[in-house]
This record gives sequence, C-alpha cells and structure tokens, in this order.
Amino acid sequence: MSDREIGLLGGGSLGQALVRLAQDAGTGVVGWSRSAPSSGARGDADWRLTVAWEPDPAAVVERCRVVCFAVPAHALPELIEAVGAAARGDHVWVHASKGMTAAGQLAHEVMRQRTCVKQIVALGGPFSGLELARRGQSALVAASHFDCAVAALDAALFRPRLRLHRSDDLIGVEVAGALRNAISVADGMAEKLGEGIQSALLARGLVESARLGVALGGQAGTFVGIAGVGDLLAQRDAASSRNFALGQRLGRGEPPAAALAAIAAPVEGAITAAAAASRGRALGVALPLMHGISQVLEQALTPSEMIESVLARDAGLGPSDSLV
Amino acid sequence: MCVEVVSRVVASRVAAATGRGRPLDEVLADSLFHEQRRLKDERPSRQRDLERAHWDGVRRALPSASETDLRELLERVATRYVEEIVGNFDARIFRFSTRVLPPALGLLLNAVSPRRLLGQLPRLPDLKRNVIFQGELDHLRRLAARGTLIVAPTHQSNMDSILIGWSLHEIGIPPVLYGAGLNLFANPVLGFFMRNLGAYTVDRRKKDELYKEVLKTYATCTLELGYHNLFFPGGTRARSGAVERKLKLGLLGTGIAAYIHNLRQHRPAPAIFIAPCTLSYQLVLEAETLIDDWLQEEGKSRFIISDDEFSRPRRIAQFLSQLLSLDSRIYVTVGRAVDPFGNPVDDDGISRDPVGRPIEIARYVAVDGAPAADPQRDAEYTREVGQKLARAYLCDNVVYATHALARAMWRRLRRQNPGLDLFRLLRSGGRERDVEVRVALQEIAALIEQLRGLAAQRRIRLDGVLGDGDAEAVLRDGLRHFAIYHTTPAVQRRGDRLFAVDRNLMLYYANRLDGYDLDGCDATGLRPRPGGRTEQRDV
Repeated sequence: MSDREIGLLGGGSLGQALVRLAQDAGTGVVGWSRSAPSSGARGDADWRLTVAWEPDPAAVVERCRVVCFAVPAHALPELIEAVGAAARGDHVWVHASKGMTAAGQLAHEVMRQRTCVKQIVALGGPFSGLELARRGQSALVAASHFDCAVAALDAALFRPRLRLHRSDDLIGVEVAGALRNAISVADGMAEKLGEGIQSALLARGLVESARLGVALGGQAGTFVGIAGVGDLLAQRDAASSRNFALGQRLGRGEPPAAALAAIAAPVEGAITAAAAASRGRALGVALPLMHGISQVLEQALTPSEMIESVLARDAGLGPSDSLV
Repeated sequence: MCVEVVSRVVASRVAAATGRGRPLDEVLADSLFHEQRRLKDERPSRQRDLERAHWDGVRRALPSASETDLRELLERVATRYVEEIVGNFDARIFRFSTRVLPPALGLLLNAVSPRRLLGQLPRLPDLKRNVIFQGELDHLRRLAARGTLIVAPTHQSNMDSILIGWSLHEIGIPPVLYGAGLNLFANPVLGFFMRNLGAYTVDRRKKDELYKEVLKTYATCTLELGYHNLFFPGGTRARSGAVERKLKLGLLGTGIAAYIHNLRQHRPAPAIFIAPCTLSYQLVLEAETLIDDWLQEEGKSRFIISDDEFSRPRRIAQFLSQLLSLDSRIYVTVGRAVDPFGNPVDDDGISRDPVGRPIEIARYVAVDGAPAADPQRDAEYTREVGQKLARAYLCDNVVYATHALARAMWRRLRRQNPGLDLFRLLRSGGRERDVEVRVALQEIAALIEQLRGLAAQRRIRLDGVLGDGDAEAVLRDGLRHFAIYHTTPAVQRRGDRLFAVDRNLMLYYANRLDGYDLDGCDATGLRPRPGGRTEQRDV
C-alpha cells in the first residue's frame, strides 16, 4: 500500500480537481470510475491520461492508503459495499459528499457501518470541482476526528493557493454540506418571490441544518463558518446547480416527476430533503423546511403553500430563530 | 516494574520538553503547586509531614536546577508517586493470595471490622444464591486465555470493588489488578489484603499531570506483562444514580499504549480486550449520600466521600442482610468485549468489522509501516471504546421495581408541576406531594410497557417482576424494597395514596432509567437527549 499514490473513486469535476491537486503535490493517482475505461488511459481529456485506472474499485483501495470518494451520496452505499473487503485500519477515506443517502445516512455513517475504516475526512465549504480544477484556488474545510488523517490528505494533495481549514466537526461539516443542497431546492422554488423571501428561506434552512447537526453530535459554530454559511452562499451563485434548477422548475408549476426527468440526473437536494426530514422526525428535531420540500416533491403541497407554511412558523423572535 | 515506569515517564517528559511540550520545570512546578495546595488542607499526620518535607525539598531545588538536576528531580517525584501507587505489592504474594485465600468478598467483608461486622450478621449472606452472573461469561473466559483483559464495570457503590473481585473469581477469570481509591486503604487490614489481592492506590486528590501519567504508565506496564486489569471508566461512583455515560478515558487509553508496546516487543499474545460489565442492584448502599452530593454540586464537589455508608460496618451488614433476605438479586452482566479501537472481538480474540470480516488491527497504529503511538489518534480510538462501553452499560443495565416505581412517581411529580425547576421541586414537593394509587398504577403500567418494548429490542434488561408481573406487583415489590433499608423510604403507601417521602432518593432511583429516551429528556429535565462525542471526557 503506497503513500505516494492516492486513490480516486469516481470521475466528474471533483475527481478532475483532485487529480490536478495531486499532480501538483507530486502524488500519483490510481483511479476507478464507472465511466473510465477498464485499463489504460482515455484520450478525451488530458487529466485522465495521468491516472492509472483500475477496472475494479477494490483494487484502488488495496493499492492506496488515502482514498477519495468523489461520488454522490446516493451512490456511496453500493460503492462501499464493493470495496469493503479491501478496507484496512490505516486507510484514510476522504469524501466530498453533499447529501444523505435515501436511508438518511451521512457519508461517514455509511463507511463506518460497513467497514473497519475509522479515519474519515469530509471535505466541505464553498469549493466547486470545476473551479478547483481550473484555478486550483479555493477554500475548503477538511473535517475529521483524526488529525493524522487530515495531515495525510494535506501531504498528498494540496498546494499553496488552496486554503485548507481543519475542523474536528466531521458531523457538522457533513450535515451542512448535505442540507445546503436541499436548501438550494427551496431557494429555486422561491426565485419568483424575490430575494427577501429567498433570504428568509436560506436563514431558516441554515437553522434547520444546525439543529439537525447538533442533534447528531455536531457543533453549532460549524454552521456559521465556511462549511455552513460559506457553502450556502457559494451554492446560491452556482448557475449550474441542479438543485436550484429543480426548485425553479417546481416553482414554475412543473410536476415533480417532469421536473426531475428534465434535469436528467439525480438531484441530491431532493433525496436529502426527504431523508433529513425523516431523520429529524426520528430524533425529535423540527425541520419544517426539509419536511416541506419533501411534501412538494410528493405533491402534498404546492411550492407557495410550502413557503408560506415555513415562513409562518415562529415569525417572532424566539428560540427557533436562534442558530439552534 | 517501578524502575520501568519511572524510566518511561521521565523519557516521555524529557522528549516532550525537547519538542513542543511543557518544559520540565513547568511540569514539576505544576506538581508542586497542586501537592502543596492539597497538603495545606490535610489533617496533621506523620504522613503529611513526610510529604511536606519531600515537596519542600523540590521547592528549594527547583529555582536553580540545571537540566540534569531537573531530570533527577523528576525521577525523584515520579519514583515517589509510583511507590505510593504500587505500595508493597509483591507479585509472589499476589499469586499466593489469589490462589490460596478465600474469595475476595468474604475476606474483605471480614476485614472491614471482623468483630463488629460478624456481631451484626448471624451468618454471612449466601451470595451464590443472590448474585446472578449473566451475559458473555464464556466469551470472557476464552478471551482471558488469548490476551490481556481490561474489565470495565459500572460503578454505583464501594461494594462494587468487592463484588466484582468475587464475581470474576466465581466466573473463572484469573485474578485482576485494579485501582482503588485511597479511602479504601484506610483500614490497615483491608488495605493489606486489597493490596495483595491486586489493588493499587489511586489518589484522586492528586490533580497534577505527572501523577496521572505515572498512574497510566503503571497500568500500561502491568497490561504489557499480561496482568488482567480492572478499571471503573466512570471514575467515581455514579452520584446521580444514572448509568454512566460520561466516561473517563485516561486509564482506558492504556489499552492502546500497552498494545503498541506489545507489538514493538513482538510479544506472543499482544492482544488487549476491554470487556464491559454492568452491575445492577435493587437498592444501593450509599444512595442517600451520593444523590445529596450530586445535587449539591452535580457530583463535582467531592471526589472522595470518606464518611458515607460504606465507612459504617453496621450499615453494610444491615444493608446486605436486609437486601438479600428479600431474595433481591444482584446482577453481574458481562458484555461482549471490544479491542482497544472499539471493534467487537469474537471468542477467539479476532477483531471483526461491522459486517463480520476479520480486521488486522495492528494497522490502526501503523505509522510508516511500524507500530507507533499518536496521542491524538489514540485518544480518538479510546473515545470510541468509551462510546461502546456506555452503550453496553445501557443495554445490560437490569431495571428493578424500585427504579420503575421511582421513575413513574417522578414522572407524575414533574407533570403535576410543569413550571417548577428541579431544585424547588425537590425541596417543596410541588403542589401535590402524593398520588392516588390508582393513578400511580396507570403510570407504572405505561412505563412497564415502554420498558418491555426496550427489553424486546435488547436495549435494557428487566428483573423478574418487571418482566412478568403487572403494575400492582411492581408497586408492591418496589415499596417493599424501599421500606427495608433506607432511613426514609423514597416512596411510601398510606391508605390509597402514595407519598414521595424522600424525593432526593426517589430521583436517585428514577435516574437509573435515564439514557433510554423515555421522556425526551433525563429525569431531572436538565439535559436533553445527548449528542455523540460530547458524552466522553478525556480524563
């Protein structure tokens, strides 16, 4: 098992960014992607040429100590199942998952429940794969309970223009990242109602995110930092956000099935809203926005009814308006 | 062993001082400060004079000490600490005592004060009839043959040390070493036998880092030598009566340190196993003192209570004979062991991942391919061990009628007085201090249903009457037990009404059902459902 190579599971823009960052650090990349060729390099993009592709994700995990999972949350359980037998105690598993599984699990919970790996790092904050790949300049949060895991990642990947913030709040960073996608769906729904309403929804979403995070063992402060507010603001500016686009379509009155079909790719915010609402119920945590979004997706509410009901709750200053 | 302990402590401190750790003079000054402050409040004694002279010497030498002098001073202080911890422990006597002497319990009960105690008891209680061993007994026996055990029991009463010592003997586990509070050594006869039955001294009044390090290093060395150890991860007795969820991780962390040393020394059986053990009593000997202490400062005011019920042989005798005369059972429940990284281990001592695959655990401590310590990483692993233990304690906690009755009554009291804070409620009893028996039975029935639901999911264990009796049987059993021992019963029946006579005591027993999310918050109403990581403390 090598420290001079990192593993990459998944392609996409984040995978591309990680490859560039690894190259800059002089680290080799061993990769697997559903769309990658079974061996050799593919000629459609330069970055792919530098990766030693493996036909089997477990082979990547066997070869590398630091392994980056660049796949969406809903694809994680299947991938973890496939590589679980190759997991080792000194592995550092990194993910940038911004969502929950359909069963309401965070990425680290999926990894912990099916493997022996303990050193898990969650990447959070306002970075985008494309931006990272293009300019290598961004700010991100690497959250782990293990300092040595972040150090291993740091040594394998990063370069001076990337600002890496360390955090020990793995849960907080994961929840903040996951719920921001769902909040973005609500943001899109409210687009026609103006920035005031949109901002109010963002604020309510942030509060819900913090509530859920704290109930799961995270720290409230994380949600007012780069991984919380920072990420939320960055997502708002992302014109290409599938989550926002889904919200826009729903806000325009498209039926959920048609809106989802038009986007033609899984929308993490939609999956996460329902999963978070259900997890919140189990924990006794009120998450009206998450619940509302999932009701819109089930056609139990229209977007305007949902927004109205969420904003009508606890309108005055009260405990629900504070961070948690 | 003492020499090895001192040499390791000094080496680690010198290494830290040359790196980014505390300089040696600061380490010594910290010990000097804490010890002088402690001695100032000590009662005059020859021991105090000797200790004062020792620290005066350190104080005089410290300001002008060179690096070599500092090292020597450190050695002197560490040696003193380790000798105090180890006392006159002799491995040969230990082996002889544990083989030849009768089981610890009978011995210690007699040693408390033989004449007075025996005067109170017509016969020593038949513990074999009343103490139930359950859980993973065979698993524990098998692991004891495959590596070194850390037995980690819950801690409610000073009787625990004795009970667990005797229980492990009965279960067939080889003798264990254990840290016992200084107060338990106060009686010279008891102290002698405890020492030679494996107890070493833990002085909780000592607050300096160096002392804690010496203590942990001693425990680590004994584990490396293959001595099974017993730690109470809760630290002191649970003042509130609740099952421990805040565990002290310092001593538990010695499991990893010993494992790493074992790997580096290529020892043939390097494995360390940590086994939870939950002790359950229908009544607790020191309940009144403990809950009062907890309420005063939420348990932080006194680490050592030297004047509680355990210091009064008459109370011990009365407690045991009355408790056991009612056929009350004491449960010793052994849970499945984990490795020092929190993974479950099978009967052969192989660590398993959550889906049952074997794990090569040496990799958890590998740095560049070789086993090495990393304090932050290892503390995190130990935190996970703490979480696993805390979970096992809740699942293996046996609930009795006393707990159910107290909780049901407490629930009712809180509902009747929604605006009243905990302390006012305890002081005043609220608007209505008594409850109609009919209403109380409804509360008990509802609680029984909840508890049986939890038991079906193996999240708790129930004593006889709670498992198969109705609300009336639970009420009867609870009242009968409350009536027999405590000066004032927690709950008493007068006609068709139930009275919360000693509300503090009632809270103590009600607290035993905290942690199961029965009411959305703890019995006190002070703490909402806890989050994950914040539940553990580092020391």
